[in-house]
Amino acid sequence: MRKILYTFKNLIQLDFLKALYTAMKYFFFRKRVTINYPSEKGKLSPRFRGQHALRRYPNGEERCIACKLCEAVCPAQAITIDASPRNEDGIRKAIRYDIDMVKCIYCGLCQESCPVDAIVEGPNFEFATETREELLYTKEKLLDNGDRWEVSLVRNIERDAPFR
Amino acid sequence: MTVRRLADNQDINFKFDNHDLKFLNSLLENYPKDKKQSAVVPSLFYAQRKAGGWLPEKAILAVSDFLDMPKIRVLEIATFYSMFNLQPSGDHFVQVCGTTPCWLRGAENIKKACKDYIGQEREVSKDGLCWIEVECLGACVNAPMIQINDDYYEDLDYESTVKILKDIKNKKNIIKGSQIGRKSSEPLERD
Amino acid sequence: MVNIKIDDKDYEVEDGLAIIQACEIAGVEVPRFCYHEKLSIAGNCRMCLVDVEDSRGLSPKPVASCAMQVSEGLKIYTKSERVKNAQEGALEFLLMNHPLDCPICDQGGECDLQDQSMAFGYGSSRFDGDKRAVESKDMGPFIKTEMTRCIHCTRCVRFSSEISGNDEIGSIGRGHDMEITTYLNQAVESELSGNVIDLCPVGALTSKPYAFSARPWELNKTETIDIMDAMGSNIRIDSKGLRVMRVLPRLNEDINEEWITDKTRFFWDGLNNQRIDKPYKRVDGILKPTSWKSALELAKEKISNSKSEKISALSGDLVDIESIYALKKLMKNIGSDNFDCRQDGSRISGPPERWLFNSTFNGIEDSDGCLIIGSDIRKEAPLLNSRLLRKSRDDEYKIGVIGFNNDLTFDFNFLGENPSIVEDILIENNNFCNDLSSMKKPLMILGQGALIGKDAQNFQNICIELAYKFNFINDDWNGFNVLHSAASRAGAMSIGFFPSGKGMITEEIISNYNNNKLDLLYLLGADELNLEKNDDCFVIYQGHHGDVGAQIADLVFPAAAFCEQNGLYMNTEGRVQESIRSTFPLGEAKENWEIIYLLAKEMSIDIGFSNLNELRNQLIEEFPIINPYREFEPLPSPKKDEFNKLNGHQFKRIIDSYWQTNSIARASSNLSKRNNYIKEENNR
Repeated sequence: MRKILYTFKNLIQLDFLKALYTAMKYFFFRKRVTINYPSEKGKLSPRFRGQHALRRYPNGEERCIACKLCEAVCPAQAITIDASPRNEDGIRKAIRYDIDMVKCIYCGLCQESCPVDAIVEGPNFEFATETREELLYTKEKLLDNGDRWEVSLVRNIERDAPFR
Repeated sequence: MTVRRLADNQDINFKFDNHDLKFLNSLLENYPKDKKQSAVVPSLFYAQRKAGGWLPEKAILAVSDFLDMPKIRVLEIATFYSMFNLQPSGDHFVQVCGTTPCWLRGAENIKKACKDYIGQEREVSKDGLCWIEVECLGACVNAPMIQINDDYYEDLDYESTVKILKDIKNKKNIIKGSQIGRKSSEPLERD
Repeated sequence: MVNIKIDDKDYEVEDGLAIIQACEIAGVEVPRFCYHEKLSIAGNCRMCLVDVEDSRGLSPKPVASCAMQVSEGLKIYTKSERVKNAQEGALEFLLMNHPLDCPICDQGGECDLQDQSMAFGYGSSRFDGDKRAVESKDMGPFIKTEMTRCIHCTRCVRFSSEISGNDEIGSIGRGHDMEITTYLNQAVESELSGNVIDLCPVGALTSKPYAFSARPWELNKTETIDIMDAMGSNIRIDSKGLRVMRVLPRLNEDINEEWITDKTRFFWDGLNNQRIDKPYKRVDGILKPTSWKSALELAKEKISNSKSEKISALSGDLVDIESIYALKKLMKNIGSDNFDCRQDGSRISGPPERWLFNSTFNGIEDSDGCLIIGSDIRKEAPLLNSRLLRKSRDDEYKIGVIGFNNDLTFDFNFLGENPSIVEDILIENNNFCNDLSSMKKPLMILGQGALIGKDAQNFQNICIELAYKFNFINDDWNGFNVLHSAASRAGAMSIGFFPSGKGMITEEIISNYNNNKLDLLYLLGADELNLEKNDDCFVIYQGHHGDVGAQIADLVFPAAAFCEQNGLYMNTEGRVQESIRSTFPLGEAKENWEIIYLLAKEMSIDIGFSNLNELRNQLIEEFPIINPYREFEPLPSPKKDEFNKLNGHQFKRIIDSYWQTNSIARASSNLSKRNNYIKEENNR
């Protein structure tokens, strides 16, 4: 008896119809959950911790004062800073600010420890490179990141501010 | 109180002559022999008098030389006490008491009179007048009052202050002490 | 001794201690800013408030523990609610006008105010007014000021009047307008001024050369000793990577207490300038880089081609005892006795008690008078000068000076410039004799400048005679002291690196060199010689700086500086201490002993050691006085010797410029800046 039923089910292809029904249901009536990645991007939290950037003040002055708190707090010891009085006015500035992005674990402690909001982890996560050397970021590279991403960095900081 | 610095214009000759040294040495007799520096305040005060009411840097150096004290120690004293003037104070140095009893009795008016007639506080006018507000000068019973150089002028109001200042300018004789004619601080007759 | 209770525990402490000292002995932490063990008590920071209870009951308000002495039965509470409140209040007031610029402050990470705010602070501020701002002051090339950060503890003011003795820093104005400054922004001239940087509990006074260069937590700390003068001050060298970043003092009550001189504190940048980092040999009159192999071969060839009596060696002021000992062994093996460590021409010799500081530095505290002969003590040993300054505060303490009438920061009787005054004192033909005969434990400090020249031995014998006549030396006091100014001198003397009997002394070596009678001269870090290049003599220089010695050399061996190798040094008291490596030798440079070992190996001489341990063991076995682990004990009194009338003996000034006494100091731009700064200021 059971064998007959089984044969009958196979005959009318019930499994296939069920699958077809589900597929059609999602195709016509449900919202899509996948995205077309390179051309479309998913939503990011304002707290997303991506590529690092060094920010500037609106007048163009670097924010970083080389206090070395990020260097001290970095659990992966990825940051190296050298400080020196600046030639023109003797103000404390970093003459070297290196982040080894290969070492970095994107914990965000550097951002938390920064007293002047200079080092931030921005929303950019597409910075894969062909060589390791390109992932050793210098101060120029980080400042350049900051200039590129300033608009979204500021927006993210503003959006996150109420929860701090 | 404001930060006190030596005057920018130090263009003055200052040196203790023999007469001064004789007086200063007599000061030293008031203090133990090996504690010469005890005489620093009277010496500075004497130097201020000699320099015309203020302390130029040369006076501070002269005192430190005379008392064998490090320069910085004399400078400390000179900047600590507000009665040492580090800026030139004119020929007629008007000190207006602004402490509570005088203030209650109208010191604000006196200050206004000085401002109207002399100018800004601490600025020497063309007539050699200069005024500042000071703390209690110890003549509260005759409040409000001012001190001009060594003399007190008491029981003032706006008009009498202006009159005094005018008289000084015109080199007239002024009555010292109370300006309403009472002797020392005898009780006032009320109307 | 008195019995006290601290936080309900019983303690027995010495009478006369301040409460804060008693707490320190008991191991109870009391916060403080203005109190410092070595300075007078000011009691103006109000941070060390504690509650005390005596027979009359609890004190009506908390008392400043630095300004109150312990007494029998006193109960002290350091952690009560009221004390906590008082300390939080004091801190809140201090922080009211203190800028929150820790991230850019050099004191950050080692700041008393930071630490104590964490430990004792209220956590937030109720102050929302405007903060006070103060102009920064110019205090010269060493001290960077940021006076807004000042909390008016007046430690620097007390230091300048009590320890350095110059009275240069003061507080002008009062109350809210009080400011710490020098007289009208003049540079601080004292040789000890750098110590105010350590004293400052906040970042108001920081080091200018070190500005912003490192954080305390990224530095490697090496506890070692200083060789800028012969006192052997204990220091800590902080290095980062291969560079020395700064030098700090270490506490040693027997030697430097907790101060160091500015020369010690700021010489470090000299370690990076003008260094010799590879072997050089002279080709056509110009020094050209070469390899170790060819350099050693050349040295071997030249040494074996020279007659042994025409080979001589001189050791410098910064060299460790081991390498001098190794050089001595090498010279003996070659068969030459012409070696000397007394570059300045001093004629000290004989047993150690004739050329050491016998009373020890601590002995100064017990002394009751002092006679300084031929020494500019402020330049030769500024810390010793500071100890004498402290003694001289006592009116009974009389100081006589024969030789140089310089500003020593304290008052002294200047007896004259002529050495023959010592003879006058000996026959009691001098006013100072009355003072001397009343002293029970006087000190005699004989500078190197008094012991130069042909008549030096005779002069020293006269001084020893004088020492026995007046109480300088008696059964329980040995106040006969010779002060050195070169760090390696005492050590080199104690291993006999000077000719005894045969062999040439420095003067003879130099005159032979100038008269072309010398074949080979080996300079072990010897830079203070003033020699001209002489083509007839082959000069080998082993050292770390391209200084005077390297300029006349035909062959240069690059060596490690004192902080790049382990080595023993004996200070002027005879105390042996080890200098520890903090960084590595630069470039191809090798450690001093190793170079001599390699040279001996090249020449197939069995020198008897192949590593530093073997060398040191041999050295200690032969000269037990060098053992750094032996108990430091006083030496016997120097013996009297025959003497004649002085014959034209003169004092010689051995230090012209305090800031440029050795090759490291001359290469340091910090020190030369300082040297020029004072001159420029005087011209202005």
